[in-house]
Amino acid sequence: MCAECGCEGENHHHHEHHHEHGGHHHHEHHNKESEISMKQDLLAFNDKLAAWNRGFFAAKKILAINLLSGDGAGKTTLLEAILPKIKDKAEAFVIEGDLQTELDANRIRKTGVDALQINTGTGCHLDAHGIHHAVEDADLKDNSILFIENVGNLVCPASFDLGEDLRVVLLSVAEGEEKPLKYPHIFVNADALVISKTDMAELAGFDMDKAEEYVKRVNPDIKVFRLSAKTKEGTDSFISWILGYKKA
Amino acid sequence: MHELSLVASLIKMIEDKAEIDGFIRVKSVYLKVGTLSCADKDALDFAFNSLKENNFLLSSAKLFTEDEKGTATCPVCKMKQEIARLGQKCEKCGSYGLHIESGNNVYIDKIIVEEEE
Repeated sequence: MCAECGCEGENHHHHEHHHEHGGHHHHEHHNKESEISMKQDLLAFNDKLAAWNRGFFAAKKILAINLLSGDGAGKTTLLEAILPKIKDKAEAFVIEGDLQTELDANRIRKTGVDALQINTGTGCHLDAHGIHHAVEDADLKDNSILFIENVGNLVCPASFDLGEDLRVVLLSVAEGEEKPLKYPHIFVNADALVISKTDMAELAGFDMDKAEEYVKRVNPDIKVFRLSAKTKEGTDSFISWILGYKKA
Repeated sequence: MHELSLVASLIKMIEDKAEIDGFIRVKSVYLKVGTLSCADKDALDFAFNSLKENNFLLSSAKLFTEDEKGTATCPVCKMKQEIARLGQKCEKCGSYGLHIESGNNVYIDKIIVEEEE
């Protein structure tokens, strides 16, 4: 049981020294116990670095976009579809987050846009610290647009502010329209929802109006786009929306 | 399992605190977990017990997690209320888009430490 779940049950004595605190040993008289108030948010370190990143992006007038979704919603495919048009209007750069491989960064480079791959190992999300180092390594131009493609995961990346200007969540029609209700955290602070793979909506039996109604329950101000990266239908309005936020 | 990252920062914060305050062992860590936060208490517990293993400061510490209730204010009728999950509607007027006031974060409330006399 212990090996499977990693739980330390009562029968396990990994920490024999627990018994030292039973009150029978003399060394305790040399130590005193005290209570220290902390009141510190566990995300404080991440948020501090996110603030640093935000300042960096502001100083260089970089529009930073955090792209999030569950596995396989089509984040990279969407970038491949929009980057050829984006790069005509602005310098673009992509940071790719995956557990391993350069596969996604290589796909991006084929569009003519430079990309940096972050491999998180087993990490289930990007964090502000990783982005902090990535932007030091990347040759980011002033007035550019930076896309940060997060690790595909609807849960873990939600809590980690990267210092982005815009948070865009993709939901593909293959996933089910009730995702915003079941996984609300990722949608609650998003600026836009992209319903992707709309060319397959009928086949998947996906009700786009329903999805929009659900996401607005969680986040009434969210902007919703419906598009297909494959047919390019709907991509133009998404591109215009992004360019509307371009700095200077 | 982003709880591992959360616990890694918890350990770092306590180590930093130990450097300032000079305590040598931590006996207990009291964590408040917002019910609207994206963290799972069992996963936090698992992560804590895994990561404390080789840490002298924390190896015998126990983690106590306590729920912190979510509260929100209705943007329409302004009623303040307790909510159990995100995406709930106002219990009074039925509007969505409640503004979260509390219960959406995870923080170390206090720690019990041993100091040399």
